[in-house]
Amino acid sequence: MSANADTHNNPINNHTDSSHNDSAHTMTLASQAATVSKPSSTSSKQSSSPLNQPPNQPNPQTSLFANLSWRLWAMLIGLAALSLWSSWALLDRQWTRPFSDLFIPSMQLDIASMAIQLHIVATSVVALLAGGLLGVVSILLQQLVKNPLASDTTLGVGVGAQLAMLIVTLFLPSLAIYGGLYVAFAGAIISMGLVFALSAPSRFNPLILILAGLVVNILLAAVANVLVLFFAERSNGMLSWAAGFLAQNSWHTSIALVITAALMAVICLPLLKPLTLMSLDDTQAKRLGVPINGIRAIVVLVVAVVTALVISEVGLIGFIGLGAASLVNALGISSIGKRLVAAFGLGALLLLLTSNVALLLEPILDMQIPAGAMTGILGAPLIIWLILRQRRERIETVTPMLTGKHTSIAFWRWGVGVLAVIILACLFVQDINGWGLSTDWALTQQYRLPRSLSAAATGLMLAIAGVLLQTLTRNPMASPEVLGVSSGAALGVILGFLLLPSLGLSAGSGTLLISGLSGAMAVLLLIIWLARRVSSGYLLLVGIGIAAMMDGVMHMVKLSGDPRLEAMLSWLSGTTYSAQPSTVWYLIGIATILFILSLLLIKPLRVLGLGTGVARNLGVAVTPVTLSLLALVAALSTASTLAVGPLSFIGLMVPHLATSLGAVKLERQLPLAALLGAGVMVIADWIGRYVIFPYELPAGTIAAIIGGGYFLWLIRKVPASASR
Amino acid sequence: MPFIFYTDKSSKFPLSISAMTSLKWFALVLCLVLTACNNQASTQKTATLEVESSHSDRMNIVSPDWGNAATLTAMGHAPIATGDVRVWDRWVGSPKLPASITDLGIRYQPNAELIAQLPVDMVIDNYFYEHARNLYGDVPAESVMSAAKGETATWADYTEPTRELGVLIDNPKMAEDYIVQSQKDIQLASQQFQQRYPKAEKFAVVQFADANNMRMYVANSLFQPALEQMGRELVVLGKGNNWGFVPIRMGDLAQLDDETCLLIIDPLSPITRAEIVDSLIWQRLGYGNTRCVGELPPVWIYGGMSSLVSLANNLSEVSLKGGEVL
Repeated sequence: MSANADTHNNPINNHTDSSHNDSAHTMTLASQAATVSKPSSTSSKQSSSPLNQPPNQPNPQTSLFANLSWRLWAMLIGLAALSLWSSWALLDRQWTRPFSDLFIPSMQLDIASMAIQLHIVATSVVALLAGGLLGVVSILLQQLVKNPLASDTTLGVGVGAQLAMLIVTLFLPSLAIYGGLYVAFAGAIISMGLVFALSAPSRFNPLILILAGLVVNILLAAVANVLVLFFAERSNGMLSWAAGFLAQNSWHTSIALVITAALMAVICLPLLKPLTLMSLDDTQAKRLGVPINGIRAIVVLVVAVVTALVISEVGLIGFIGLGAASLVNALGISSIGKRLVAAFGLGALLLLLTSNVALLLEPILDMQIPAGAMTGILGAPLIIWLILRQRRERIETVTPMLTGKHTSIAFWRWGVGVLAVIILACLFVQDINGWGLSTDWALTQQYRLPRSLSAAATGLMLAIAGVLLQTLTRNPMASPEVLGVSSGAALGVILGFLLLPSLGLSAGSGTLLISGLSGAMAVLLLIIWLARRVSSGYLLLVGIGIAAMMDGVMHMVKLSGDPRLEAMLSWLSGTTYSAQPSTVWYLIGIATILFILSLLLIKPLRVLGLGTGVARNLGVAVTPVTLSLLALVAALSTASTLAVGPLSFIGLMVPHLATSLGAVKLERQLPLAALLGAGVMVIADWIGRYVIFPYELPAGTIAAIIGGGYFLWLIRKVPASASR
Repeated sequence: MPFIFYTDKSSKFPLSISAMTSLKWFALVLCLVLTACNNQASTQKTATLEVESSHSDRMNIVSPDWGNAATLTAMGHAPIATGDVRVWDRWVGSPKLPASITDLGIRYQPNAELIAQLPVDMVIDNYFYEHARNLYGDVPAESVMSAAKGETATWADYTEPTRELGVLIDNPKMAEDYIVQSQKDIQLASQQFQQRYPKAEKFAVVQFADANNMRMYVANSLFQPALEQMGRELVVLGKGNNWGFVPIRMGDLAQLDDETCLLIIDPLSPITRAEIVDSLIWQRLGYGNTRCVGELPPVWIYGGMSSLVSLANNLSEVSLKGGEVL
């Protein structure tokens, strides 16, 4: 298996490396023929697919792939067995009546039995159908955009529907009661339209598409975060919906989903043939008389309707669609009909298993566990395992995407600019009497300056971490936030908070710092270990997975109702709230030291950026340099995450911003990004502190909104610069 | 109104700006325009000083937490500032806060910069707010917590913190009077309730998270001493966590007997309400028909003595529906 895959892959890898050597950072996206990693076509070229390959052509690889897919089929059977076993365990624990009583009409049972029946049967039905539908949606999306990373989660369909529901719930509750589906549908269409509109000029370049989806996801999540923070009193009840509870207390949802699934099957049947033709090549399909745009529109509509329906009925269930579709891809199924059926089955099984595990865990953890949060937590290991399984099968080339003309940069001007921003942020404030220029030195020294300075320090650190990671992994989408390093740090802090007391250690800031650092380091090591084995697109999946894992844990923490944890959540929500005059200088000191260290590492890093092989030939000690860079990134991410929380955009955005301003070479990109990161963060922090004074919005969230908006604007510009 | 520089230091500001480039000039002009647009002149310093000189007879308390703020207000010594004032009515209800109270922003993140601008003598919080302690500068901070000490909350668990508050504001008598008055108020409420619903003896108290999930308040919550003072019984399904509740599902309500009256604590969002009505289990449970149900206005669950009083008052005015107890 591996021998075959290696021979298939190596030429492409070499191609990637050599093209990097040639034009380094100045290349544009369109000039790089990014190998479109469409799920079926690439794998069908390798496996002897009955559809796409003449049957008489001898294919020596068949047995190898049969072998591979046998293992995966075995896994599928294992999954089914696990689901069955967990269902049985659940029944065994809760259902005391004869098994056949499970299926008699609810009204004939006594109330307690009926509650259990609904709790087990109706919930299972909903889990099966919702999971299956999300799986089908993801496969449809993947066929549409020819990208194995596409799914309702990654393209922002779900989060758009969720945000729309949230807005309506907050401001027009009666519409949310009677028109939830339409609202969710509108949200899904808008966010999907945004992602498509952003990536259409680049002809749905896989990289741009997923990047746009990712940014839309983070942006909309940040907006939702602000809304929930500010309208917390109106959003109660939203919390558990957002966490994705599947437990049912009537048959309504089951019936709605059964009808949806049936309609979906009817609609999908006539779509199979045109989709098959389109999966080969759009122009050929057009020549064969397929109304490509019409089919695309239908698929988009179906995807939006179904996702909206699932979300309005059961809440946001992340990852199931992506997981099911990734499993289908791993199984190497190429016929579209079979792919859809398999995705339905796998999605159904995955969500049922998750739901059962959540229900079985409830008595152990003594709290209600939403399946939606659970899919997030179980999603990360699944994704990592999947990536390791199929790491040699598909490849994407990733190229630096935003370019700028090499121009000279007056660093002193930017430095003065950042200083001016900090000074203004401390002077022009809102106080007890409203807006004004305040020169009250006691207040400035005690509260304003420390917060602005710590915002600057964290912005600087995140930006540096972003530059280092993007160069090191040669992935323009890499950043501590996107790759999950910041989430890892936050998870480490939460776990430390929960577990340290039981180990006899006090959960002080020092011990929490160490647990955060180990979380970040663990994620980084995982990412670097994977980076040598998988293509960079898959690395992003790991990041998304870890971020979803943290999201799940956060949801559980919120639902636990523990006020201590809630206080900690607000600490982790990304503000400079805890900055103090006595500690801010340490933060500044740490930032300065790490900045100087990163400047020292520029030279070996630049060589490393050309590829490890080249670097080794040029006499760079690859392993020690990589490890020290990693340690540096972990330190930067942890320090900044502890200060402003895991959600922000600086690390992803600012390096590109620096490049587009003309800092093309690493020696210039690093310091300029550092200055820009500091400036943006100070502004975000100032907005968060004073716009709704005395209330506050987290600087990380504001930065995500500013940065996300700006970044989407930049993506839109990509094809224009590429056509030059 | 023209912009006024009100301290000497501010005159240095334009000097430092003059060294900058035109871009920064633009920023400065923008700021000045914005400032000029704002009607509120910055006469903060003098205003603050005036207040500081006139407050000596009465301690100015800042209480980010609602529990102590409510009890202090009910006692007659309202804090000068508390958190999340804009949603006080939705979650705490009574007592009403004085109109002059300052909003500190998010409760768990009280705006320390604002506190520093207030003529504050003492911050009273509880241990959930320890993370914000070192932000108050040199203002003394004290912790008062009204909560069950053991597995069952008692009347003493609520009188003791009230007395502590009395000591902190240098007016122990005010606290004692308030305790006596509270007990009287609760007795009065109890009698009113007895007249209206003489047969309603047993209550279960829940708060919905969504249509399916709810918190049932149990023996270590404030409902225990409140109902006990009123001579009623709190029915529970299990032992609570540290915060006085046990998470249950709607189906679990079937375990309650028919005589137990279900009290639903607001707020209840209209969406959740619609979903509850839609629920097959809720329909079968028959609350409002065969079983007794009532909806109580919000009361701050983690509050102190004033929460007990509001709870008793709310209960005396509740309208119960269904069941044989009526």
